[in-house]
Amino acid sequence: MKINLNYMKNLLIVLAGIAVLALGGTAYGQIKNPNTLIYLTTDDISSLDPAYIGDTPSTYSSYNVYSRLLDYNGSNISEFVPALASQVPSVANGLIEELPGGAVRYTFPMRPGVKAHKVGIKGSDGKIKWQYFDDLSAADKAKIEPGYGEITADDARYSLMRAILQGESWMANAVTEMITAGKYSNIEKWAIGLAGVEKFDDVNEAGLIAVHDDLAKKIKVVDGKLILTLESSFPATLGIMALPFATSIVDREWAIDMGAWPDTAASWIKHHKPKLDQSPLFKQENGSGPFIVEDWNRTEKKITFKRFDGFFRKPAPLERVVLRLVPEWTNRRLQLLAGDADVAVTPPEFIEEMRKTKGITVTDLEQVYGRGLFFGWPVKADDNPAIGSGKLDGKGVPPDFLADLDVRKGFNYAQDYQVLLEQVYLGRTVQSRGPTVRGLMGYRPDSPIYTNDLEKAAEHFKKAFGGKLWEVGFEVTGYTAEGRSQAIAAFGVLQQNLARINPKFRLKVQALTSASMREKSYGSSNPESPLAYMGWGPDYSDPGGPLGAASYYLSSSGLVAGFSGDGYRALMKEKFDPLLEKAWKLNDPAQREPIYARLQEMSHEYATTQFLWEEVTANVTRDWVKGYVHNKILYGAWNFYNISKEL
Amino acid sequence: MKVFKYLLKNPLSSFGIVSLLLFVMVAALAPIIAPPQSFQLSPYETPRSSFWATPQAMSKDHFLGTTQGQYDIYYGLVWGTRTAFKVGLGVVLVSSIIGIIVGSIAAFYGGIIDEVLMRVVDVFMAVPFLIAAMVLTTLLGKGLGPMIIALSAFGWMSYARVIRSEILRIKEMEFIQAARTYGVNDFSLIFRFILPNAFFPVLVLATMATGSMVLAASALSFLGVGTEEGYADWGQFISYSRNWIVGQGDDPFKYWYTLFFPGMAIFLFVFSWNLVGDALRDVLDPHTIHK
Amino acid sequence: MVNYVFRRLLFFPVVFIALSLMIFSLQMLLSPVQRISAYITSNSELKGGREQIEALIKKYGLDEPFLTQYWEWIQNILSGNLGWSETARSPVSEVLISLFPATVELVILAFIPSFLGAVWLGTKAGANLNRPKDHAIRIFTILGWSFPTFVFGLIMLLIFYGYLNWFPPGRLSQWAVTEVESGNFIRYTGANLIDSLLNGRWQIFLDSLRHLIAPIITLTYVNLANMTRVMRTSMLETLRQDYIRTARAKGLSEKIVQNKHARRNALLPVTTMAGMELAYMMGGVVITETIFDYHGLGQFAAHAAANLDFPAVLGFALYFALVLVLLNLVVDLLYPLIDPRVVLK
Repeated sequence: MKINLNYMKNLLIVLAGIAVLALGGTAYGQIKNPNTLIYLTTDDISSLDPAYIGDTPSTYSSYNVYSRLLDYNGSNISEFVPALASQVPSVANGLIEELPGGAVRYTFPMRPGVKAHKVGIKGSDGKIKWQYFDDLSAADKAKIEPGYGEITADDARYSLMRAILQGESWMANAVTEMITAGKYSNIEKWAIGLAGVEKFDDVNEAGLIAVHDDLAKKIKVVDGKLILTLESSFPATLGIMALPFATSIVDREWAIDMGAWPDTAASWIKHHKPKLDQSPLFKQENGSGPFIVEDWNRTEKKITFKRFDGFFRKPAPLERVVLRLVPEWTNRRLQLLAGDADVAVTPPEFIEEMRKTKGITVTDLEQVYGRGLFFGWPVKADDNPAIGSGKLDGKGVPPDFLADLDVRKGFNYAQDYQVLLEQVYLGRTVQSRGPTVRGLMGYRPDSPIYTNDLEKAAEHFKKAFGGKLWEVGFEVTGYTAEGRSQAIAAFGVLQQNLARINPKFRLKVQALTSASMREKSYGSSNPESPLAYMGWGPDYSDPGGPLGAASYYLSSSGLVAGFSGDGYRALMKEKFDPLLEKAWKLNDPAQREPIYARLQEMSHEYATTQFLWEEVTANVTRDWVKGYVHNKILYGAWNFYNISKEL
Repeated sequence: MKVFKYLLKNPLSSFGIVSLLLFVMVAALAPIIAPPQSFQLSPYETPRSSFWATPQAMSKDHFLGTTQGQYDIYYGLVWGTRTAFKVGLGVVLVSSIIGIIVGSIAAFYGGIIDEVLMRVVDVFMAVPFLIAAMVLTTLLGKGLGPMIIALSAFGWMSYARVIRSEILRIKEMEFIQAARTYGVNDFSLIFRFILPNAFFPVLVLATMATGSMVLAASALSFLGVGTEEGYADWGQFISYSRNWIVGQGDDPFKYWYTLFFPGMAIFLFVFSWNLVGDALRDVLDPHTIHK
Repeated sequence: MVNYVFRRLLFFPVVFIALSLMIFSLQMLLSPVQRISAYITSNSELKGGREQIEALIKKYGLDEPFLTQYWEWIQNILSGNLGWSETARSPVSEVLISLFPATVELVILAFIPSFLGAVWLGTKAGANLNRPKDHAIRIFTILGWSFPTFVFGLIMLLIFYGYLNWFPPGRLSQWAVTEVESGNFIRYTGANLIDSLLNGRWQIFLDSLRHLIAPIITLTYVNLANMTRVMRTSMLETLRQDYIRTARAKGLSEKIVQNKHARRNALLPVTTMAGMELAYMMGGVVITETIFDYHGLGQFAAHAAANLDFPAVLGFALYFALVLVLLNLVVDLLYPLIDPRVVLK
């Protein structure tokens, strides 16, 4: 047990030695890891199955690994270029046809000779072996079993049907909504509707087969072309077909071989709503996109993509992309500064800091959605800490507090939008004018907005509740998910201004875990939160339809109505729904635009939400990262195909 | 009193005591030296005069500068002193009470009760402290109360053990045996004779723990489950500073004040408790010399 | 002896049942809507609204009665893979096994210098009670104990990586990762240092060492104080013993008395404590791992706890309990070797 007293001395010598070894150092202006892009993120990919996912982080995989029939044309959110399809359908080229009775037919001719990452080769025992296409010799390539790893119209049909029948993500359900032209929002409702029963559990096997067959009638392959037949027009169809979610094309033969839905009518229910790891496509992929998943280390939260040389366009410039989750910002920052990382997700407070840093490029990215304080009324009445006493007595508010238009307007005039834009966002974005933001149909730069006006706010508050509110005051709590300093700032400004208007107006703020936040919004049919900071955006450029900006906010069955209470829904039903329906039925943009513009104006008139600012994010990269194309509708997901590293 | 004399004589512990007294004064005088403003809902909400994202250096209005989001560091530190005492003493108080109850019941009754209670202690010991506290605060929500509950729920075991072994030792002593033969009941035996004698080892433990609980609370803030944003709490403030340690390209110390002042406050506080605790142990630990 | 080991291990099932009940009851405090959060990674997945949330609750059976859910949960856990971790998207046992080597590598390497340092410093302090040396050592160690680990770690990272670029974060540099994953590198243990030596890859060995040093320094310094304190106290006590007086009386030099006679005996309590200390380091590397982007169990557990991934939390707690039991066992078995007077019952 003798311990060398010189140990510490030795240790220091050893450490110094290592330090010298470590001093390899890198000169500035020299690209580290030349053909590999290292991207440090804070989000996590949930599944490789494109039909399963519904979140932007997961599209980093699906977007780059799988291909779709169409791609968005660069940064344009309503124009497309062919991908797996060889042409973009349009009325002009005859690939979109209006059939008698109002039905619409889309025809997608397919690009020939597209290979997936893995192709099937028949061994001597007659069994199919899946091998990487890139690794094959020319002789092996000749032995590829037809259809096995070759992307055809049938694969496209299978992929769409599989996504719809799996029915897992809301994006897959969007495809259902598209194919039924808005009649059914998911496959279960479709089955219930056809069978004429109450619950999905009551649908018998014949009913299940019936819904499959009904679906199969709408998605067909004729002469090697994919044909979609919709009962009525659905203007957002091409937009949905180009999104990197459920419309990504998988290889049918491979998927079936791996144990996915075998493409038979009765069997789909076994593959309906699987748990995450029960989808055979959860941790393996066989897409036809520019990158192959080389390794997905889920415990270390790291995914590595390798270039696919057999891609149907010319191979990508990058050889490898590493996407790694690093939770601590300082760590990400230092790795970026050292050049060990090429891209680092940056908290908003540090965007300007990074812009001033040498060797770093910051690109602001306009987003397709705004942030706001969402009003809900009535809120849950019993046992709800957000409304204090639940009465108009100065120690709380009644559950239908925000049903009073004057209160909503008072809140909106009390907010100081300029302070938030200047100080919190450092002038990087603009005030949000309503549900539709810049670039969407119905956006007009001169539509009315609220400004900070404490006198007007006071005027409205004095009118509210017959003047009693002004007399007794109120105490109410607003919620935000934690870790959002901008939300706290927005509430903070409001809180100070309310107290200035009337010292008896007390707004409290609480930051909640996302779990509790969901509970407050979705726990019961009326929300618990009278005021909640959130941001929601559309999923295609058209403001109408189930996933459009205007419907999300202003339809009584929309996304926002879903968590804003009966009062909000009633208001939407009465005032907004008729206009929304009218606009969706029209085909001429010139006729539709004024209606959406009117809806935008009405959202101001009725103060439906406190619209704060249009979201802006930023890419923070080394100078040598080139080629990022921002398409708003993809929420900043990276298409690594365009990226290269050069000085 | 001998104890107190020793603490004052020892330079390290006397430094600790003096600095703790200073902290007590700051906490007591908080409303005078950092008066809250009229629009604040509670004095523990740090006021913000503007909302800029980047910290601002010291100025006339902000003696010690501001953090990100313009929370006044001076105000936060002054009122944070109260928070620190609340967290430190609160956790120690709650957990030592639980520990004393469990430990004395186990020791006094022995047998199967002792066995069961000690297994319970073992189970709690087998839970990794920080993770357990994190789970509890995630469940209970942000704020001071949940934090104190979470830290106490997994911090009482050592008190139980110490109390138990002390009581077992004292129980065998003659005066207790004598009291028993006179028919003094269990309850008053524990409270009048045994606990006072077992007090000092617990005091040592508690002193050492007070500081480290403030550290644990700051670790929770770092992990995102501490107090509400803007709450006057050192852990919160030092957690704000973590992102500004790097400074800016040509000026690495640009935001030094965001780290330095909260860091000094938390450090001095914990350090002082530890110094006092360390010295207390020297005096009170029966195994060491009483000089 | 065998009986003794057996009794120690018997503790494990007790811990399992108690912990599983504790964690399960805790999670049942939450409403089904809150618990569904473990299965949802991003808010955009909620665009399906309440309808979708209710479908998810049904799918995962979160609205079943307490006992039904507990039974299912326990079955799932006992099925061999400790259940499914939603945050890691893998079975819990797989996660624990794959991250264990990384944490052990880090903790053992940090433990050795902190133990030796503590013995060394504690001896010096004890032998110089209340003299400047004693004060200096105490201040030095308490300093490490009095500062938030994350601040100290961040400063280490800033100095050694930001300014000097000596010790980068993570476990390996990108080129080394590509090598290790290339298939020409055999993973024997999962610990990079050992594997690179076994593969005879010096470059990778050095690279992995480079990545380890900064977290090791952080962990060592933070964990120094406790053991030093015990060593010092124990030293004080030993120095009062009769045989030390005898040795001194015999005219042996103070250095020999301290180092040969006193320290050896003073080591006993420190050894006992070192086992616990090592165990707590294994469970408490959360912050160090997070700061240095070192993918190990601590970081995983923290992420799991923040995201209400209860099977993962339970798995981590069980791992920790196992480490605790085993290390206690090792210490108990070592005891008779150090002190022949001790006999295991």
